[in-house]
Amino acid sequence: MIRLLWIDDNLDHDLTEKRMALLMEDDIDSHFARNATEAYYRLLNDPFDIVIFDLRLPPGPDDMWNDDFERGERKFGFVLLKTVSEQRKNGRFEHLTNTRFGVFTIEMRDENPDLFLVPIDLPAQNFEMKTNAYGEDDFINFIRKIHRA
Amino acid sequence: MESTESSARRQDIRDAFQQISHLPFPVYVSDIAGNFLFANAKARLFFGLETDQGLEGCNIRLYYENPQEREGLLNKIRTVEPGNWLEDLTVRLHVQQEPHKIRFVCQPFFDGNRQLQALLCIGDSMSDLEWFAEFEDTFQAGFFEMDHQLLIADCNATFAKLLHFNSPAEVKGRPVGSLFWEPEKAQALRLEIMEHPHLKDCQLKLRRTDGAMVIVKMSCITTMRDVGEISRVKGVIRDVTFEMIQEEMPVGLFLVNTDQNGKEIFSRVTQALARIFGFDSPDDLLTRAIADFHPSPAAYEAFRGELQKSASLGKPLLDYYMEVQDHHGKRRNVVTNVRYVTDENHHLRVGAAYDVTDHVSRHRRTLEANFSAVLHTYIATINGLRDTLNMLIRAHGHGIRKNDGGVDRLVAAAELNRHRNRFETLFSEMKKIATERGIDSRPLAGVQKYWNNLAATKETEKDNAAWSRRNLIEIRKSLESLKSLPFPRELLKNSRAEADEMLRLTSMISISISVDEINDRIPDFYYFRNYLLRGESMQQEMKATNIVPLMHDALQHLEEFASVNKVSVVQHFNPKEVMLVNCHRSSLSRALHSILHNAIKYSWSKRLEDRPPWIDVRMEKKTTEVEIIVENWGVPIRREELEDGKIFQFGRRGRESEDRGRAGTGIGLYDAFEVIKEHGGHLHLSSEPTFGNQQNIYTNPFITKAFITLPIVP
Repeated sequence: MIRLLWIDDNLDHDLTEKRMALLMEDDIDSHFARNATEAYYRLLNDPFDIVIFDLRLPPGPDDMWNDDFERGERKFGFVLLKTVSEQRKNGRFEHLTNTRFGVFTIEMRDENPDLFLVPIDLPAQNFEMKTNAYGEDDFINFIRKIHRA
Repeated sequence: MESTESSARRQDIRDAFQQISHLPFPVYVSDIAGNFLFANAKARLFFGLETDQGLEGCNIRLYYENPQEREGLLNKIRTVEPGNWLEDLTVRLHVQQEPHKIRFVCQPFFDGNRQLQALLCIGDSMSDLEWFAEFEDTFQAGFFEMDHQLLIADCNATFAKLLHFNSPAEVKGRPVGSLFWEPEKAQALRLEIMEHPHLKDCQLKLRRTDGAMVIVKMSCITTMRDVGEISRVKGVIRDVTFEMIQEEMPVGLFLVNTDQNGKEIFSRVTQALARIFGFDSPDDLLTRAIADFHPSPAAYEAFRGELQKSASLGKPLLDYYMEVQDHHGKRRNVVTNVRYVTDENHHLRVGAAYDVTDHVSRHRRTLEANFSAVLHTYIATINGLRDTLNMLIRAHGHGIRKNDGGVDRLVAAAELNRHRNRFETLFSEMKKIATERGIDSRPLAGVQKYWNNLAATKETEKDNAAWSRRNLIEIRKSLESLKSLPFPRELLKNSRAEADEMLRLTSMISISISVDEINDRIPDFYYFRNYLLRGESMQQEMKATNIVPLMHDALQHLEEFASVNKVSVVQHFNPKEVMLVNCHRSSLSRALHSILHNAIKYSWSKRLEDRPPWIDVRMEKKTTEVEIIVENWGVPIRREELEDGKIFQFGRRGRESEDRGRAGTGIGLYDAFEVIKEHGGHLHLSSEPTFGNQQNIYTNPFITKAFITLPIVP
């Protein structure tokens, strides 16, 4: 069973069908978070095999993102991914040591070169762009591919 | 002994006085206290003393405009060696009710202990010209003198400094043409001064030694020889470069002061600023309150708030964009840079204002044209999609359609339930036959799995529909695979028909939800297109209107929306009451509509003790304003969104609004806020947890209130 956390603020709108498709999969135990704060606390407490991040994510209610906000940061999915990656390297999030991170976003790969550098160091195949042509099956295959890698 | 010495000294003083008393100037002697001891006839005449009058009681101090000045002079005189004269002293006296400027020289007399005893003075009244000449080198004006060849014969330090020379000596002897920006113009100047020996405020362009241009205004007096040639030119120049820049620059400069009532007024402005505010002359703008030129008190306060914020950080307020209105009431778009003058305790500020109205209008027009085109295509596409979905409902929605053509989702749900029961019976039959006939039960397990899935309900209607449809498609596929197994054909056929019917119904429900969502959003985009980009016309069309029927109409318009959402509206106002506000009817209707729409949309489906939900609408006429409160029970607005006013920002969608499966567009509240602000009113929201619940737990219902205040027309 693949334990998945999908973090995206559009889960209830454009991504409803993809979300339902995930729920249909017997071997994927899907969990969802809709902002950076909610996701952070889920990650802090629960183990996951795969975490899929949206980059353009709202911060959510916690004060922890205030400094980033002041700095003009608006892509809290990226901030979250960076924060978790850094803290994982520093020994926090022990339960996520083997967790694989993926990015599913409306943005292009070239717009986010930092994703592929330390501390995030995202494998190239773990990045996928949301497009209209990208169907539910493709998305589920993307998750399986990350899991197999 | 003392007396003998004193009398000898007095004799010395008398002798000194008598030696020069015949001079044709006022000559007098005064003691240290200022009492006149001796005065010649000219001095008596000057001070208005009778020739035969004694000098007792006459004191020079009484003539000083400022007696303190004499103390300063005495200190200076004390430094002079006995027997020497101190020259070129000037004082201002007041003699026979007239001010006089006099220049004098004086010789001090000391006693044996070198204490100052008396002053022997020769004075003379000065002309104004002479008086000012005394200060020639300290004036911020350049004095000069030219000879017959127009070579600079003499000049003061300011003249030299103005042209970036180190001293007057460096300028002397230079032809005036060499100081000109265009040297060839020297000849023209010669002709000009020959024609007008008394030249006043002639503008000249000069060149500084560092290459910079100085624009000066020159006034001069020319002495001519008998033969019609120039003998001497004396004149003065004043640097007006920055005055000219200030006047020519299309930027309004201003000085704002606080008057005795604490009102901020224009104390000095340039022509350009006067024009921004619709006046021909800067004088027309003076002493007017700057608040009068802001479109509303709120706008003025917003500007002041920003200014104070910058001032508290010790910074100027830079590039502040605002709307102002000129004295005809016409709106202008202005960018301003302002700073408080140091040490004036925030009572004096200077600044510049740029009129960017044309710039903004041009961009607004472009934006409106381009954005309208995009929006038009978008709305047209969405409308087309909605029509297609409605066609699908018409084609496949038989038995579950309402009179207006939409899907009656309650009927559809009941119908779906009936088909579920039928399918369940058929499926049980199939399982029974499989057991009886020993048919492989594995293909049936697939159907069973998706059938079980179908029983699970999701949080929202939209999710439920999507989930059911997906599982029904799988059930339909699994039933197809049973074809090869020895089940009765009729049983399989009926089961497939039931699954198809359920699929049809869930698809119709799903499509119907989408149509609702589209219907919900489209008006926002229409509003945006029609009004937000043309906000400036609102002011011109405002008139006194009774707001009660406006509210009544908005509620009536939303009646159907409320009934679909099963939300009732409780009105706490008398529909016959008259509350006049100065308003732009359609804009204010739209704002009220948005707020009521939100209150209905974001009500939970059940309220206390499982009662159906309602919203409360209150209107109250107060002394100076109308207060409207719209209250609902359900979806919260987060604390942080309320605190920073983020909820009113354009495009800001309340984080919790997604709870209803249809997040806001981020336009409605922004628009309502702006419209109410335009009307001189205020909109604010509160969202508090219901009794016993915590502030931060947004999964509980909250009571959300929208407070609107609008100034009443007296």
